[in-house]
Amino acid sequence: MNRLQVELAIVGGGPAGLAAALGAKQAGLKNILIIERDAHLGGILQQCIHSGFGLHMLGTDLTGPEYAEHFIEQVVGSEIELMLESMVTGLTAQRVLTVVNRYGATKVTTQAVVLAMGCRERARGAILIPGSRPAGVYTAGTAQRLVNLQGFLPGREAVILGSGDIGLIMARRLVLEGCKVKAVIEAMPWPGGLTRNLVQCLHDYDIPLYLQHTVTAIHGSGRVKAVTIAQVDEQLAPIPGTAFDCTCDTLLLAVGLIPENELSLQAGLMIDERTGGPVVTPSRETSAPGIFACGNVLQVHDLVDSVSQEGLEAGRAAAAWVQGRRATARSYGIVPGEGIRSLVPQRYDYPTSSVLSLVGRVTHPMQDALFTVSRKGVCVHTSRRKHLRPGEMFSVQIPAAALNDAGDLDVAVREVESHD
Amino acid sequence: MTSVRELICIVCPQGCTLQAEHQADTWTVSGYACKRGLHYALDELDAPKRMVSTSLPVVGGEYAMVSVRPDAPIPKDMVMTAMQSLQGVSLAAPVKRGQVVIENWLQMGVNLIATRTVYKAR
Repeated sequence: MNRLQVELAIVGGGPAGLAAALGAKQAGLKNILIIERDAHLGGILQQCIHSGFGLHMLGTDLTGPEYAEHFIEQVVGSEIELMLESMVTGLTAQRVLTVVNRYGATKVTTQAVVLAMGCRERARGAILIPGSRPAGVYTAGTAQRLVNLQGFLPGREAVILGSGDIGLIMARRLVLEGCKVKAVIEAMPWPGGLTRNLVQCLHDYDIPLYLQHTVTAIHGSGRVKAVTIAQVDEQLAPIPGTAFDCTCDTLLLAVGLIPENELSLQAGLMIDERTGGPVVTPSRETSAPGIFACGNVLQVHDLVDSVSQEGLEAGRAAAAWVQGRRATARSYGIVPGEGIRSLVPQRYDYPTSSVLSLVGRVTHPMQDALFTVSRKGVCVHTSRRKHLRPGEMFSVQIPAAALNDAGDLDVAVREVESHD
Repeated sequence: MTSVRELICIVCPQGCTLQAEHQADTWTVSGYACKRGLHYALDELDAPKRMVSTSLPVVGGEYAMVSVRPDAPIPKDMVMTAMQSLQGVSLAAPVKRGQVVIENWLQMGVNLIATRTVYKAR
């Protein structure tokens, strides 16, 4: 087996990994390696050819490939080393990686690791739609890759299950390519994606959105011929008597993303069941010292801008670790309560002199909501919000002054009466 | 005559809900969190525009396709016509990000530009 030694190895060359490499570089690290399984850097941004990227990070509205190239050019122009078409197949808590590529296997010993593997799509097997197994059932991301990178249309008449951003973006994309999109189906009572995407992807093209509906069967032998759609109750169970058939030759599944954490599990990292990603501190350090994580491997983000921001910070923190500036503070838990579906980070350091920034998602849409952060039953911070939606990540900043004692923090959010 | 319209701003992910009131030939807009929202609403009420992205085949490139977009949003009612006008259009590698692919696309006053770099195939 080949052997290699680096200060910092970054697993994944998408937006999180690219930003982590640049963050570590800016913090003075010399010996940085990005390992990427694709032949090109940029990750999923390569196929996200629509605009809406970079408004926060770069102050301009770019498409995915343009946003990616902005970071790729900086990485390629520096001394950051790249291993492309290389798959990391092993990671230990002692930060040793096994990498496999066309030259064989390489053992990479490191002082620090940043995990930036992103996420993958939930597929048909994960949601158990009954019916036959014809061609024409794709995940939305696969269809996006076929259309935007390879120049193939997945079909002519599509039904899309799931109203997250990828489902909405693909609805519009197929219409622009001359396909008919017959319906977007969403099991929840509210749409999953950003409001702007509802407007510019569905309303603009008169594509019907069926909330509280699901696909209960797929029909066709050889090729999809139709799907059965039914209304669902509050437990998401189909309601008898509400089913109808919709003819189509294609079904796109946009039914959620799963952080890709096989390596995290191998290394024995503590995983948060709510996010599906590793448990981290504010500097994005996992439960294994010297192993950091950022981007969609940690939790599914709405915006690439916040992925890049998190990558920069994780890269800087990894550099500080290599340079010997290691945390001596004790860490305490941050516990999600009422109204909170997920929360990152899951731990914080005490004592601390910096603002604690929490990001997460709520369980259901709320108006005039109040976040409360308490320690040992005593409220230490509150924060108001006009609107909250599960489809949009919230962020709450807790000032250092509120963190003046040790102990776990409980975070909750509930609707309150408006004082306007 | 007063007429009221509600719009959702699509400029950024915040998606502000905007109210527009029409009175004596002018629109009064409220509900925006930044100036871009105001401009979006005035455009949307007068002559809506949209950004549109697609991919075109590249001959002799390291990838099969190159992504393109206009350098500014185009009239909303031109989106489908503009897409159809690209049928059969292909480019030759290399293509540089930002390169003008079609100048003054369909006389809309915008250039169609490449949004990624595609080198020649090795």
